[in-house]
Amino acid sequence: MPTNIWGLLLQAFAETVYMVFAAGIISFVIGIPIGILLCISDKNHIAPNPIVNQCLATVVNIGRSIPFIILMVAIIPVTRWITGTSIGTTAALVPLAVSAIPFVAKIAENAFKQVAHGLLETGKSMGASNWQLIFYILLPESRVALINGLTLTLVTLVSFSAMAGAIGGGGLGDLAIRYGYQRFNSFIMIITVVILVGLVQIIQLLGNKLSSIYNLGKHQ
Amino acid sequence: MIELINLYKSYQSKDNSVIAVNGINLNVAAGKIFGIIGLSGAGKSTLIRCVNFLEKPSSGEVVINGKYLSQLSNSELHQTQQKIGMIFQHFNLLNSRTVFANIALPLELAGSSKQDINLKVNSLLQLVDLTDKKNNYPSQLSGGQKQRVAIARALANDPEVLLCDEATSALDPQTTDAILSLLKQINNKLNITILLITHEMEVVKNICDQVAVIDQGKIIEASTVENFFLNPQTQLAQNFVRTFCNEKPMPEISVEFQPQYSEGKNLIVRLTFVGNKVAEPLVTKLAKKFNIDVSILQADIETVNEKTMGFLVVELYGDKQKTTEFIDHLATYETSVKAEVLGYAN
Repeated sequence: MPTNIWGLLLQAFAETVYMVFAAGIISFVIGIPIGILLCISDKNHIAPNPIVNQCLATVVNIGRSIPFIILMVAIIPVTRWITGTSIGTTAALVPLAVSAIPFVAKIAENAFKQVAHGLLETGKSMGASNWQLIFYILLPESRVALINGLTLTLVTLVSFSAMAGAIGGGGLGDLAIRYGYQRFNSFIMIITVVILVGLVQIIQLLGNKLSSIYNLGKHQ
Repeated sequence: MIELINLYKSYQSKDNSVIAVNGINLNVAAGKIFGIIGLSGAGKSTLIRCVNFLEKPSSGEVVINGKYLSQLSNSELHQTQQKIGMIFQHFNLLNSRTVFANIALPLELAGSSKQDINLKVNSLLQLVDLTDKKNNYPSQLSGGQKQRVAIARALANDPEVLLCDEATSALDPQTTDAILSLLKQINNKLNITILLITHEMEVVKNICDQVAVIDQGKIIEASTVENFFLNPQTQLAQNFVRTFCNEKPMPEISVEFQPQYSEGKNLIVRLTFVGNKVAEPLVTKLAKKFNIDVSILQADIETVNEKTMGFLVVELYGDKQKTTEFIDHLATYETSVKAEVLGYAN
């Protein structure tokens, strides 16, 4: 056992990183467009549409209100349908992404809403189409808030991925429960906690770094 | 160049509708600077947003250089909007873009090539005198510099028309003057028609050729700027002019004002002069001629549209016949001098 302990940790770490970033990327790709739609379909925004806005807002709010551990179990049939299995790291991606999408959508919506209305008006006065308003004004002007929000999403995914370990998702959470908790191996428990803390620190650090690069224009 | 025909804009809320623009007709000739002045809430912001269809009018027509905006398709409208520059009270620069990139934005939106963008932006930077700031971000600029970037940006697509929405209202008086003279210079150099809205007489005085007064969504008065200062018709216009010329109410006299002449009262008269009559010693000359005494109560001199104007409030000491002759004589100067009897005082 102790001989391959580092191998186990390394593999668990890789699984966690894979779950966090893969689920993160999936949730960004789906969540950000939803956030854009939520923002621009608001009644005072560039493409007001109360029906779309209400429907999306309701779905997003329902998604955000289901606790992850329950969601994870509840959507097992969906997970099985998509990945062909309900256990393992890849299977864990489904509940992770599903729970992160509404989170990202909400964060993105808030980031976009912080873009001053005057800027969009200025874009319109230049004859910009709605697509141009989104890509030339809305996205670049909200990128700092967006990066901060996405960093927060990744951090949240780290803790969710540990939970996913509980139902056989693999990763550091799984390791901590199987060895640390069920086999009373305090060493593994402590190491996994240290690695998880370190991972969160690194994600936060990189996020801050990235947002400060883009923030150059704002506070100097 | 800009024609507004019977323009209406109303906002519908749950239980009432607000009419912001109430039947406005306006014609701005090419190459002119036209000012619309009004108090806050008069509808001027909505009006100027209707001109480039940031707000779609509820009814009526906007005609820019012969094009009826309401009849254009979406893409035609976007193309027309590219030829209508607009600057705003709060500059509305993109914080994520440098000065250069901000000015380049409308060109990028219009799909210009990189080379064209480089050429155009650099020449605009020269025009607004900000070449040394081209790589700075808006947060590193002063208010006046930001507005100059915004002006350069508004000019990027060689517009025929420039709309100014309270462009100097957030600036200090000195910066205001600098921005106004830049606008005047652009108007002269590029022959761009400028429509501006403001609540500051300073703006009207310094650069406008023509002015209209807006109140409750209606144009209540429109004239050339000189005539506006010389001969304001409505109460609101008079308030604008009087306040601007520092005419103070005169409580110690006004309480004793009497509408009718009676023996022993002196006439209080407001005199307005335009052009070279300001320089002439007209008042003292006439006072000697008609043998009356003049006491100056208030006085101000302003340069309006490159012409000098004088504003006086005087008290005339003399009998009724002499003072009447004095005033009648002033009336013969017609367009250059105006005398108004304000009342009688002890």
